[in-house]
Amino acid sequence: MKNKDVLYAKWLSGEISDEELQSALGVEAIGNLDLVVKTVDQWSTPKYDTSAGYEKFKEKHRNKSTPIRKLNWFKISGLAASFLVLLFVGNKFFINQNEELYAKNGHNEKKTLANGSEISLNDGSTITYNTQNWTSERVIELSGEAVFQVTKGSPFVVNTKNGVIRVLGTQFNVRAWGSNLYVECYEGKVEVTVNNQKTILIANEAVNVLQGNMDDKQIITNKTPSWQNGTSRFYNENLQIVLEELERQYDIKVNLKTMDRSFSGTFRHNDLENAIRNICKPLGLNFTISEDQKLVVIE
Amino acid sequence: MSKSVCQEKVFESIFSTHAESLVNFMYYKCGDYPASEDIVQEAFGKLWKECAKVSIEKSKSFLFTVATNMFLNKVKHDKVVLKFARRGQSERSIETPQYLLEEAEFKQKLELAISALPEGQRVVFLMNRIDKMKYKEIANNLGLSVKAIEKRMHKALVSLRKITPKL
Repeated sequence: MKNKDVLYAKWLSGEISDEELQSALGVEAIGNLDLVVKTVDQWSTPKYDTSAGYEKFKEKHRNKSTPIRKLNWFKISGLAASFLVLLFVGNKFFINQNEELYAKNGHNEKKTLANGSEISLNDGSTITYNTQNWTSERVIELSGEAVFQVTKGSPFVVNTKNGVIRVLGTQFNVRAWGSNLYVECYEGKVEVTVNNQKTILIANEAVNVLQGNMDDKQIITNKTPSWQNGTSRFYNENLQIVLEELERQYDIKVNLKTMDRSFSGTFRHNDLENAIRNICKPLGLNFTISEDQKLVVIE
Repeated sequence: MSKSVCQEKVFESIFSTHAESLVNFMYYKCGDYPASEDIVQEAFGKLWKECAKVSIEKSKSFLFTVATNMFLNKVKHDKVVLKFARRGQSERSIETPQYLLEEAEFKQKLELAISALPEGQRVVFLMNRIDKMKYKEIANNLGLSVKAIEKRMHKALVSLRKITPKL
Protein backbone atom coordinates (compact mmCIF):
# COMPACT_ATOMS: atom_id res chain seq x y z
CA MET A 1 0.00 0.00 0.00
CA LYS A 2 1.31 3.44 -0.83
CA ASN A 3 1.30 6.47 1.47
CA LYS A 4 2.61 4.40 4.35
CA ASP A 5 3.76 7.54 6.13
CA VAL A 6 0.22 8.85 6.62
CA LEU A 7 -1.67 5.61 7.37
CA TYR A 8 -2.43 6.39 11.01
CA ALA A 9 -3.71 9.83 10.08
CA LYS A 10 -6.06 8.30 7.51
CA TRP A 11 -7.18 5.70 10.04
CA LEU A 12 -7.96 8.31 12.68
CA SER A 13 -9.99 10.44 10.30
CA GLY A 14 -11.94 7.35 9.23
CA GLU A 15 -10.62 7.27 5.69
CA ILE A 16 -9.34 3.72 6.20
CA SER A 17 -10.71 1.01 8.50
CA ASP A 18 -9.12 -0.92 11.39
CA GLU A 19 -8.72 -3.92 9.07
CA GLU A 20 -7.01 -1.90 6.37
CA LEU A 21 -4.59 -0.48 8.93
CA GLN A 22 -3.88 -3.90 10.37
CA SER A 23 -3.37 -5.54 7.01
CA ALA A 24 -0.83 -2.86 6.15
CA LEU A 25 1.01 -2.66 9.49
CA GLY A 26 0.20 -5.92 11.32
CA VAL A 27 -2.39 -6.94 13.94
CA GLU A 28 -0.61 -5.02 16.68
CA ALA A 29 -0.91 -1.77 14.75
CA ILE A 30 -3.67 -0.17 16.81
CA GLY A 31 -2.11 -0.92 20.18
CA ASN A 32 -3.60 1.39 22.80
CA LEU A 33 -4.58 4.07 20.36
CA ASP A 34 -8.32 3.60 20.89
CA LEU A 35 -7.91 4.35 24.58
CA VAL A 36 -5.43 7.16 23.98
CA VAL A 37 -7.72 8.91 21.52
CA LYS A 38 -10.81 8.36 23.65
CA THR A 39 -9.01 9.85 26.66
CA VAL A 40 -7.62 12.89 24.84
CA ASP A 41 -11.00 13.56 23.25
CA GLN A 42 -12.38 14.23 26.74
CA TRP A 43 -9.76 16.82 27.52
CA SER A 44 -10.18 20.54 27.32
CA THR A 45 -8.00 23.61 27.65
CA PRO A 46 -8.89 26.36 30.13
CA LYS A 47 -12.02 28.12 28.85
CA TYR A 48 -10.95 31.29 27.06
CA ASP A 49 -13.08 34.28 27.99
CA THR A 50 -13.52 35.89 24.58
CA SER A 51 -15.40 39.00 25.67
CA ALA A 52 -12.93 39.74 28.48
CA GLY A 53 -10.12 39.17 25.99
CA TYR A 54 -11.67 41.67 23.59
CA GLU A 55 -12.16 44.26 26.32
CA LYS A 56 -8.51 43.88 27.21
CA PHE A 57 -7.55 44.23 23.59
CA LYS A 58 -9.57 47.43 23.19
CA GLU A 59 -7.98 48.90 26.30
CA LYS A 60 -4.49 48.18 25.11
CA HIS A 61 -4.56 48.68 21.38
CA ARG A 62 -7.57 50.79 20.56
CA ASN A 63 -7.67 53.43 23.23
CA LYS A 64 -4.79 55.74 22.60
CA SER A 65 -5.83 58.67 24.76
CA THR A 66 -3.99 58.80 28.05
CA PRO A 67 -5.64 60.46 31.00
CA ILE A 68 -3.68 63.41 32.40
CA ARG A 69 -2.57 62.74 35.92
CA LYS A 70 -2.69 65.46 38.52
CA LEU A 71 -0.24 65.13 41.32
CA ASN A 72 -0.88 66.77 44.62
CA TRP A 73 1.14 66.76 47.77
CA PHE A 74 -1.20 64.52 49.63
CA LYS A 75 -0.76 61.80 47.03
CA ILE A 76 2.98 62.28 46.83
CA SER A 77 3.42 61.97 50.56
CA GLY A 78 1.22 58.88 50.45
CA LEU A 79 3.40 57.49 47.69
CA ALA A 80 6.52 58.15 49.72
CA ALA A 81 4.99 56.50 52.73
CA SER A 82 4.02 53.38 50.85
CA PHE A 83 7.48 53.25 49.36
CA LEU A 84 8.94 53.26 52.86
CA VAL A 85 6.61 50.50 53.92
CA LEU A 86 7.56 48.49 50.85
CA LEU A 87 11.22 48.91 51.66
CA PHE A 88 10.64 47.71 55.16
CA VAL A 89 8.50 44.74 54.14
CA GLY A 90 10.82 43.92 51.26
CA ASN A 91 13.72 43.86 53.65
CA LYS A 92 11.91 41.51 55.94
CA PHE A 93 11.16 39.14 53.07
CA PHE A 94 14.71 39.27 51.96
CA ILE A 95 15.89 37.90 55.26
CA ASN A 96 13.11 35.42 55.75
CA GLN A 97 10.95 34.38 52.81
CA ASN A 98 8.83 32.08 54.92
CA GLU A 99 5.54 33.62 55.88
CA GLU A 100 3.75 32.34 58.94
CA LEU A 101 0.15 32.77 59.99
CA TYR A 102 -1.11 31.76 63.40
CA ALA A 103 -4.67 31.73 64.72
CA LYS A 104 -4.84 32.34 68.47
CA ASN A 105 -7.05 30.18 70.65
CA GLY A 106 -10.60 31.48 70.40
CA HIS A 107 -9.91 33.12 67.01
CA ASN A 108 -10.16 32.08 63.38
CA GLU A 109 -7.84 33.66 60.82
CA LYS A 110 -8.43 34.15 57.12
CA LYS A 111 -5.75 34.70 54.50
CA THR A 112 -5.90 35.33 50.76
CA LEU A 113 -2.75 34.21 49.01
CA ALA A 114 -0.98 35.76 46.03
CA ASN A 115 -2.92 33.83 43.38
CA GLY A 116 -6.32 34.26 45.05
CA SER A 117 -6.44 30.99 46.95
CA GLU A 118 -8.05 31.37 50.36
CA ILE A 119 -7.16 29.74 53.62
CA SER A 120 -9.15 29.92 56.86
CA LEU A 121 -7.37 28.76 59.97
CA ASN A 122 -9.11 27.20 62.93
CA ASP A 123 -8.15 28.16 66.46
CA GLY A 124 -4.60 27.49 67.56
CA SER A 125 -3.46 26.45 64.06
CA THR A 126 -0.41 27.60 62.14
CA ILE A 127 0.54 27.65 58.46
CA THR A 128 3.92 28.43 56.97
CA TYR A 129 4.76 28.91 53.32
CA ASN A 130 7.49 30.31 51.15
CA THR A 131 6.47 33.54 49.44
CA GLN A 132 9.41 33.54 47.07
CA ASN A 133 8.54 30.53 44.91
CA TRP A 134 4.82 30.67 45.54
CA THR A 135 3.60 30.76 41.94
CA SER A 136 5.64 27.78 40.83
CA GLU A 137 5.50 25.76 44.02
CA ARG A 138 2.44 26.09 46.20
CA VAL A 139 3.47 24.23 49.31
CA ILE A 140 1.99 24.90 52.75
CA GLU A 141 3.11 23.48 56.06
CA LEU A 142 0.12 23.04 58.35
CA SER A 143 -0.05 22.35 62.02
CA GLY A 144 -3.67 22.15 63.18
CA GLU A 145 -6.78 22.60 61.07
CA ALA A 146 -7.62 24.77 58.08
CA VAL A 147 -10.00 24.98 55.15
CA PHE A 148 -8.67 25.70 51.65
CA GLN A 149 -10.23 27.20 48.56
CA VAL A 150 -7.64 26.69 45.87
CA THR A 151 -7.52 28.56 42.57
CA LYS A 152 -6.24 26.89 39.41
CA GLY A 153 -2.51 26.82 38.84
CA SER A 154 0.50 24.79 39.85
CA PRO A 155 -0.06 21.79 42.17
CA PHE A 156 -1.12 22.79 45.65
CA VAL A 157 0.38 20.72 48.44
CA VAL A 158 -0.36 20.70 52.15
CA ASN A 159 2.32 19.10 54.28
CA THR A 160 1.41 17.94 57.76
CA LYS A 161 3.51 15.78 60.01
CA ASN A 162 0.87 13.05 59.69
CA GLY A 163 0.66 12.95 55.90
CA VAL A 164 0.67 14.90 52.66
CA ILE A 165 -2.38 16.22 50.79
CA ARG A 166 -1.97 17.06 47.12
CA VAL A 167 -4.77 19.03 45.57
CA LEU A 168 -6.25 17.98 42.28
CA GLY A 169 -9.33 20.12 42.75
CA THR A 170 -10.56 23.04 44.75
CA GLN A 171 -12.12 22.89 48.23
CA PHE A 172 -11.16 20.79 51.19
CA ASN A 173 -10.53 20.78 54.92
CA VAL A 174 -7.54 19.26 56.68
CA ARG A 175 -7.37 18.46 60.39
CA ALA A 176 -3.98 17.36 61.67
CA TRP A 177 -3.85 17.35 65.45
CA GLY A 178 -1.86 14.88 67.54
CA SER A 179 -1.23 11.80 65.45
CA ASN A 180 -4.58 12.09 63.67
CA LEU A 181 -5.28 13.27 60.14
CA TYR A 182 -8.78 13.95 58.85
CA VAL A 183 -9.51 15.32 55.37
CA GLU A 184 -12.87 16.36 53.94
CA CYS A 185 -13.25 17.20 50.25
CA TYR A 186 -16.08 19.57 49.18
CA GLU A 187 -15.28 20.18 45.54
CA GLY A 188 -12.95 18.64 42.95
CA LYS A 189 -10.39 16.06 43.98
CA VAL A 190 -7.64 15.71 46.55
CA GLU A 191 -5.04 13.03 46.97
CA VAL A 192 -4.04 11.98 50.50
CA THR A 193 -0.77 10.17 51.08
CA VAL A 194 0.19 8.61 54.43
CA ASN A 195 3.34 6.54 54.57
CA ASN A 196 2.83 4.33 51.53
CA GLN A 197 -0.96 4.49 51.44
CA LYS A 198 -2.60 6.78 48.93
CA THR A 199 -6.23 7.62 48.32
CA ILE A 200 -8.09 10.08 46.12
CA LEU A 201 -11.09 11.88 47.56
CA ILE A 202 -13.79 13.30 45.35
CA ALA A 203 -16.47 15.79 46.39
CA ASN A 204 -18.45 14.74 49.49
CA GLU A 205 -15.87 12.23 50.62
CA ALA A 206 -13.72 12.22 53.73
CA VAL A 207 -10.99 10.02 55.12
CA ASN A 208 -9.69 9.57 58.65
CA VAL A 209 -6.14 8.47 59.47
CA LEU A 210 -5.43 7.26 62.99
CA GLN A 211 -1.84 6.53 64.03
CA GLY A 212 -0.79 6.26 60.39
CA ASN A 213 -3.58 3.86 59.40
CA MET A 214 -6.03 4.98 56.79
CA ASP A 215 -9.73 4.16 57.37
CA ASP A 216 -12.19 3.55 54.56
CA LYS A 217 -13.56 6.66 52.94
CA GLN A 218 -16.75 8.17 54.34
CA ILE A 219 -19.53 10.05 52.61
CA ILE A 220 -20.17 13.52 54.05
CA THR A 221 -23.09 15.84 53.45
CA ASN A 222 -21.68 19.11 54.79
CA LYS A 223 -20.39 21.62 52.26
CA THR A 224 -18.12 23.47 54.67
CA PRO A 225 -16.15 22.18 57.67
CA SER A 226 -18.21 22.03 60.84
CA TRP A 227 -15.89 24.42 62.70
CA GLN A 228 -16.83 27.22 60.35
CA ASN A 229 -20.42 26.87 61.49
CA GLY A 230 -19.36 26.99 65.12
CA THR A 231 -19.38 23.22 65.65
CA SER A 232 -16.70 20.56 66.03
CA ARG A 233 -17.50 17.11 64.67
CA PHE A 234 -15.63 13.87 65.27
CA TYR A 235 -15.80 10.30 64.03
CA ASN A 236 -14.47 7.69 66.38
CA GLU A 237 -11.86 10.08 67.73
CA ASN A 238 -9.56 9.63 70.68
CA LEU A 239 -11.12 11.51 73.62
CA GLN A 240 -7.84 13.27 74.33
CA ILE A 241 -7.93 14.86 70.86
CA VAL A 242 -11.57 15.89 71.28
CA LEU A 243 -10.80 17.59 74.58
CA GLU A 244 -7.77 19.35 73.11
CA GLU A 245 -10.12 20.83 70.52
CA LEU A 246 -12.46 21.88 73.32
CA GLU A 247 -9.53 23.56 75.10
CA ARG A 248 -8.62 25.49 71.98
CA GLN A 249 -12.18 26.56 71.17
CA TYR A 250 -12.97 27.85 74.67
CA ASP A 251 -9.39 28.68 75.70
CA ILE A 252 -9.74 26.58 78.85
CA LYS A 253 -7.86 23.79 80.55
CA VAL A 254 -9.35 20.30 80.83
CA ASN A 255 -8.20 17.71 83.32
CA LEU A 256 -9.07 14.20 82.26
CA LYS A 257 -8.80 11.24 84.57
CA THR A 258 -10.15 8.59 82.19
CA MET A 259 -8.01 7.60 79.24
CA ASP A 260 -8.42 5.48 76.15
CA ARG A 261 -11.95 6.36 75.17
CA SER A 262 -13.13 7.39 71.76
CA PHE A 263 -15.86 9.83 70.89
CA SER A 264 -18.18 10.28 67.92
CA GLY A 265 -20.37 13.34 67.86
CA THR A 266 -20.35 17.13 67.88
CA PHE A 267 -20.07 20.07 70.22
CA ARG A 268 -20.85 23.74 69.64
CA HIS A 269 -18.47 26.62 70.26
CA ASN A 270 -20.80 29.05 72.02
CA ASP A 271 -21.94 27.23 75.17
CA LEU A 272 -19.27 25.60 77.30
CA GLU A 273 -21.47 23.63 79.64
CA ASN A 274 -23.56 22.26 76.81
CA ALA A 275 -20.47 21.35 74.85
CA ILE A 276 -18.95 19.39 77.74
CA ARG A 277 -22.25 17.63 78.40
CA ASN A 278 -22.39 16.57 74.75
CA ILE A 279 -19.00 14.95 75.10
CA CYS A 280 -19.39 13.41 78.57
CA LYS A 281 -22.94 12.13 78.53
CA PRO A 282 -22.60 9.52 75.77
CA LEU A 283 -19.47 8.20 77.46
CA GLY A 284 -21.04 8.10 80.94
CA LEU A 285 -18.51 10.58 82.37
CA ASN A 286 -19.03 13.23 85.04
CA PHE A 287 -17.62 16.75 84.92
CA THR A 288 -17.20 19.88 86.99
CA ILE A 289 -16.52 23.40 85.74
CA SER A 290 -14.55 25.82 87.88
CA GLU A 291 -16.17 29.09 88.92
CA ASP A 292 -14.10 31.27 86.58
CA GLN A 293 -15.03 28.89 83.71
CA LYS A 294 -11.35 28.27 83.00
CA LEU A 295 -10.91 24.71 84.25
CA VAL A 296 -12.91 21.55 83.62
CA VAL A 297 -12.35 18.30 85.48
CA ILE A 298 -13.70 15.10 83.94
CA GLU A 299 -13.79 11.72 85.63
CA MET B 1 -18.76 50.71 1.30
CA SER B 2 -17.55 47.11 1.35
CA LYS B 3 -16.64 45.26 4.50
CA SER B 4 -13.12 45.62 5.81
CA VAL B 5 -11.09 44.37 8.76
CA CYS B 6 -10.74 48.01 9.85
CA GLN B 7 -14.43 48.17 10.77
CA GLU B 8 -15.00 47.70 14.47
CA LYS B 9 -17.86 45.22 14.00
CA VAL B 10 -15.91 43.08 11.53
CA PHE B 11 -12.81 43.12 13.69
CA GLU B 12 -14.74 42.13 16.79
CA SER B 13 -16.30 39.16 15.02
CA ILE B 14 -12.87 38.05 13.78
CA PHE B 15 -11.65 38.27 17.37
CA SER B 16 -14.48 36.25 18.83
CA THR B 17 -14.25 33.60 16.10
CA HIS B 18 -10.51 32.98 16.25
CA ALA B 19 -9.14 34.14 19.61
CA GLU B 20 -9.76 30.90 21.48
CA SER B 21 -8.29 28.56 18.88
CA LEU B 22 -5.28 30.87 18.61
CA VAL B 23 -4.73 30.82 22.36
CA ASN B 24 -5.02 27.03 22.36
CA PHE B 25 -2.61 26.82 19.42
CA MET B 26 -0.05 28.86 21.35
CA TYR B 27 -0.67 26.82 24.48
CA TYR B 28 0.10 23.58 22.61
CA LYS B 29 3.36 25.13 21.52
CA CYS B 30 4.62 26.51 24.83
CA GLY B 31 2.52 25.10 27.69
CA ASP B 32 2.15 28.57 29.22
CA TYR B 33 -1.47 29.75 29.07
CA PRO B 34 -0.99 33.38 30.23
CA ALA B 35 1.91 33.84 27.78
CA SER B 36 -0.30 32.39 25.05
CA GLU B 37 -3.03 34.93 25.80
CA ASP B 38 -0.48 37.75 25.65
CA ILE B 39 0.82 36.68 22.25
CA VAL B 40 -2.69 36.45 20.87
CA GLN B 41 -3.37 39.98 22.10
CA GLU B 42 -0.24 41.16 20.28
CA ALA B 43 -1.18 39.28 17.13
CA PHE B 44 -4.57 41.02 17.04
CA GLY B 45 -2.75 44.29 17.67
CA LYS B 46 -0.76 43.71 14.53
CA LEU B 47 -3.86 42.79 12.55
CA TRP B 48 -5.51 46.02 13.70
CA LYS B 49 -2.49 48.04 12.66
CA GLU B 50 -2.45 46.47 9.23
CA CYS B 51 -6.18 46.09 8.82
CA ALA B 52 -6.17 47.98 5.53
CA LYS B 53 -3.75 45.52 3.96
CA VAL B 54 -5.37 42.25 5.07
CA SER B 55 -8.61 40.89 3.61
CA ILE B 56 -11.22 39.28 5.83
CA GLU B 57 -10.60 35.89 4.23
CA LYS B 58 -6.87 36.11 4.83
CA SER B 59 -7.13 37.41 8.38
CA LYS B 60 -7.19 33.98 10.03
CA SER B 61 -4.00 32.68 8.43
CA PHE B 62 -2.48 36.13 8.98
CA LEU B 63 -3.15 35.77 12.71
CA PHE B 64 -1.70 32.25 12.88
CA THR B 65 1.42 33.32 10.99
CA VAL B 66 1.95 36.46 13.06
CA ALA B 67 1.40 34.59 16.32
CA THR B 68 3.87 31.89 15.25
CA ASN B 69 6.53 34.48 14.44
CA MET B 70 5.98 36.35 17.70
CA PHE B 71 6.18 33.07 19.54
CA LEU B 72 9.58 32.29 18.05
CA ASN B 73 10.92 35.61 19.24
CA LYS B 74 9.36 35.83 22.64
CA VAL B 75 8.50 32.64 24.42
CA LYS B 76 10.85 30.23 26.06
CA HIS B 77 9.60 26.76 25.22
CA ASP B 78 12.42 24.32 25.82
CA LYS B 79 10.54 22.31 28.42
CA VAL B 80 6.88 22.14 27.58
CA VAL B 81 4.56 20.56 30.14
CA LEU B 82 0.94 20.53 29.08
CA LYS B 83 -1.97 20.00 31.45
CA PHE B 84 -5.58 19.50 30.51
CA ALA B 85 -8.89 19.43 32.30
CA ARG B 86 -11.36 16.61 31.88
CA ARG B 87 -14.76 17.34 30.42
CA GLY B 88 -18.05 15.84 31.56
CA GLN B 89 -17.32 14.35 34.95
CA SER B 90 -20.52 12.46 35.58
CA GLU B 91 -21.23 9.08 37.17
CA ARG B 92 -18.20 9.64 39.30
CA SER B 93 -19.61 8.15 42.49
CA ILE B 94 -19.68 4.59 41.16
CA GLU B 95 -16.02 4.58 40.24
CA THR B 96 -13.67 3.00 42.73
CA PRO B 97 -10.71 4.91 44.17
CA GLN B 98 -8.43 2.39 42.51
CA TYR B 99 -9.98 3.14 39.15
CA LEU B 100 -9.76 6.89 39.71
CA LEU B 101 -6.14 6.63 40.69
CA GLU B 102 -5.29 4.56 37.64
CA GLU B 103 -7.20 6.95 35.47
CA ALA B 104 -5.36 9.93 36.95
CA GLU B 105 -2.04 8.20 36.45
CA PHE B 106 -2.84 7.31 32.85
CA LYS B 107 -3.85 10.89 32.16
CA GLN B 108 -0.60 12.17 33.58
CA LYS B 109 1.40 9.66 31.59
CA LEU B 110 -0.38 10.69 28.44
CA GLU B 111 0.11 14.39 29.13
CA LEU B 112 3.83 13.78 29.52
CA ALA B 113 4.04 11.73 26.34
CA ILE B 114 2.17 14.38 24.36
CA SER B 115 4.33 17.15 25.85
CA ALA B 116 7.39 15.19 24.74
CA LEU B 117 6.26 14.97 21.09
CA PRO B 118 8.06 17.24 18.63
CA GLU B 119 6.27 20.58 18.54
CA GLY B 120 4.88 20.21 15.03
CA GLN B 121 3.32 16.81 15.76
CA ARG B 122 2.00 17.90 19.12
CA VAL B 123 0.25 20.99 17.75
CA VAL B 124 -1.37 19.08 14.91
CA PHE B 125 -2.52 16.23 17.14
CA LEU B 126 -4.08 18.55 19.73
CA MET B 127 -5.73 20.90 17.24
CA ASN B 128 -7.35 17.83 15.69
CA ARG B 129 -8.43 16.14 18.95
CA ILE B 130 -9.21 19.08 21.22
CA ASP B 131 -10.20 21.89 18.84
CA LYS B 132 -11.81 19.28 16.55
CA MET B 133 -10.23 20.79 13.44
CA LYS B 134 -10.06 18.75 10.24
CA TYR B 135 -6.63 18.21 8.63
CA LYS B 136 -7.58 20.64 5.87
CA GLU B 137 -8.37 23.39 8.34
CA ILE B 138 -5.13 22.84 10.24
CA ALA B 139 -3.24 22.91 6.96
CA ASN B 140 -4.82 26.26 6.03
CA ASN B 141 -4.06 27.74 9.43
CA LEU B 142 -0.44 26.67 9.42
CA GLY B 143 0.14 27.38 5.74
CA LEU B 144 1.09 23.77 5.04
CA SER B 145 -0.19 21.02 2.75
CA VAL B 146 -2.73 18.47 3.96
CA LYS B 147 -0.16 15.78 3.29
CA ALA B 148 2.31 17.47 5.65
CA ILE B 149 -0.33 17.57 8.38
CA GLU B 150 -1.15 13.89 7.84
CA LYS B 151 2.53 12.97 8.11
CA ARG B 152 2.83 14.75 11.44
CA MET B 153 -0.35 13.14 12.68
CA HIS B 154 0.89 9.72 11.61
CA LYS B 155 4.15 10.16 13.50
CA ALA B 156 2.38 11.41 16.62
CA LEU B 157 0.13 8.34 16.65
CA VAL B 158 3.06 5.98 16.11
CA SER B 159 4.62 7.36 19.32
CA LEU B 160 1.41 7.42 21.34
CA ARG B 161 0.29 3.91 20.42
CA LYS B 162 2.73 2.43 22.92
CA ILE B 163 1.40 4.26 25.97
CA THR B 164 -0.07 1.72 28.38
CA PRO B 165 -2.67 2.36 31.07
CA LYS B 166 -0.97 0.27 33.78
CA LEU B 167 2.32 1.31 35.37
